[in-house]
Amino acid sequence: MKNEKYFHSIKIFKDKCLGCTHCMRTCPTEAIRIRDGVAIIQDLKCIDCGECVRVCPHNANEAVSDDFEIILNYDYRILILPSSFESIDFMGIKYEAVIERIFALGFHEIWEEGIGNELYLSMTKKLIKENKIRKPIIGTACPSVVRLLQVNFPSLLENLSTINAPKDILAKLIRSERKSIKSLGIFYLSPCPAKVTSIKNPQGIENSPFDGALSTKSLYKKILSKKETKKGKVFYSGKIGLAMGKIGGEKISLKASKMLEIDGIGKVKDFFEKLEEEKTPFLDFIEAWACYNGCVGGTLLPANDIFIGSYQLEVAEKKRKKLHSADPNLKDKQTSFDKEIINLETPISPRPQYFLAEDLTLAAEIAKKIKFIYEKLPKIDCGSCGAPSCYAFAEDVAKGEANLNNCIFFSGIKKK
Amino acid sequence: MAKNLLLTDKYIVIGRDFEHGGEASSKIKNELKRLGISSDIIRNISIASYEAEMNIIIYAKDGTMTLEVYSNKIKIIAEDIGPGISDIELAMKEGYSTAPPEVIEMGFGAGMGLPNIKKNSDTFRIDSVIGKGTKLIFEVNLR
Repeated sequence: MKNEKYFHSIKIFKDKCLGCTHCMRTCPTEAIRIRDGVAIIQDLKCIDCGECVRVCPHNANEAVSDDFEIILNYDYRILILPSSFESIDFMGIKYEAVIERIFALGFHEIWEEGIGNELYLSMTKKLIKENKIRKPIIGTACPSVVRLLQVNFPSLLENLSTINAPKDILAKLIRSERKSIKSLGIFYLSPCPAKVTSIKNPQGIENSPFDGALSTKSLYKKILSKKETKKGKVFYSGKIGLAMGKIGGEKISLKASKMLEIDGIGKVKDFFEKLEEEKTPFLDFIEAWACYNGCVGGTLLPANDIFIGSYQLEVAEKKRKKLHSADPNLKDKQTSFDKEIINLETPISPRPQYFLAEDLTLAAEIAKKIKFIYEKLPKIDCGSCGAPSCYAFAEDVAKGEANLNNCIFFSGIKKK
Repeated sequence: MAKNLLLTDKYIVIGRDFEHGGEASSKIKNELKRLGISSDIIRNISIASYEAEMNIIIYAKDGTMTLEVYSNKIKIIAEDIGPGISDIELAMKEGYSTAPPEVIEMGFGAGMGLPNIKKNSDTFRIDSVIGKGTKLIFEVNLR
């Protein structure tokens, strides 16, 4: 996989795609069009939320990640497990045994993302108190939410937290602690396409601290078929870190009374719309997740039922004795932390596609054209033209990206 | 078409239609976003036009919101058929309200509407005829 300016981990497999419009209608940023009977994702609009993967009845939309063999490029291999990992049902295999099988697959250390969560949360707590960022502060934990702001709500980027996403904090920390190791490879086991993308095309950091992103689904299969076990060094998170694998996890720890948790990318979008219009009550912090129930709803996790997943994660949380990570060194670091590890390196900027044209006169010209075309359309949003709505179609026609004849009301099949 | 007028849009607002309150100003906001207008100007227009829209909903029978985009400014005209404002100077005072109790119960009519529009615009004018209606015109300059 190579790095591109707008790399996306979601790909459409043309031979499977029937052009059925399911994904096009679901996409929260209207990034999908059907052209010549096949779905096409527009790079500038895609936020990698994975909703198209979820709804595709033909498994034509898939999230791609690194091949497992990528780990062999490094001699010393560290795997970071997502905090939603324990929501997975391993067919009765105990967590400890699962870990031992992962070691047998070729890893030297395993860290739980929850440790990163704990650092992220304690730094966020500080950030809320400092009052330096416009409230409500929007967390960076979900990369799709960050990308939604870039694509649709550039004005709300001002509210975005300046703290790195938990997995990036943790990977940077490990990298600094294991500096002396030659040929060190750090890999993330991703529960969703968005986090794969955030490693391949990071926002707010120059280079991702990860050397690869693996799919939880494909590792799951390997774990089940691997019968060998091996012992190794595991770094466990506490209750608090683990809790962030599902919605509400940040709230438990931040203890901010004025905070809100929202899940489901469509609902998140509706909320941001209101926030932008200042129609929301005063809030300190927003915990927003693209997936329903948070990361346990990720499309790269093998278990599809988010309710059972959430329950299993809760059971796992209760088994943890400590609130925070068991590593005493980490506790000291929480108070006096290296800014380079904690903070975003560069501000996150909007993507240029949200307006019609750079020049206002030209943009107004296009807007007029859109209105003119839209008035002629049936406004039934049937999707037959290959655009998600009559309005989106009018925009495509005005920009010269689609032909008016693609609308069934203008082609041979007339209304009357 | 007036000089520099690039685009105009009109939205209908119906009196007492609280359920759809804010829809016109939401549409105005999204139109400005698509035109690439900067976010602080959009914020001003968005707040002011929401107040103007709610005023029509609270007090008038019905009305329209017109968005006019010029090369150097954004203009909103909120025009209604309604009771009119008897004392404009008094109406401009913060906290002064003639909203009926049931409207205040809903959380509207706190007497901040007109002052808020003024605060968020560069020019602001009220034309009102008792028993006929009110016309608010406000502009935000593009910097």
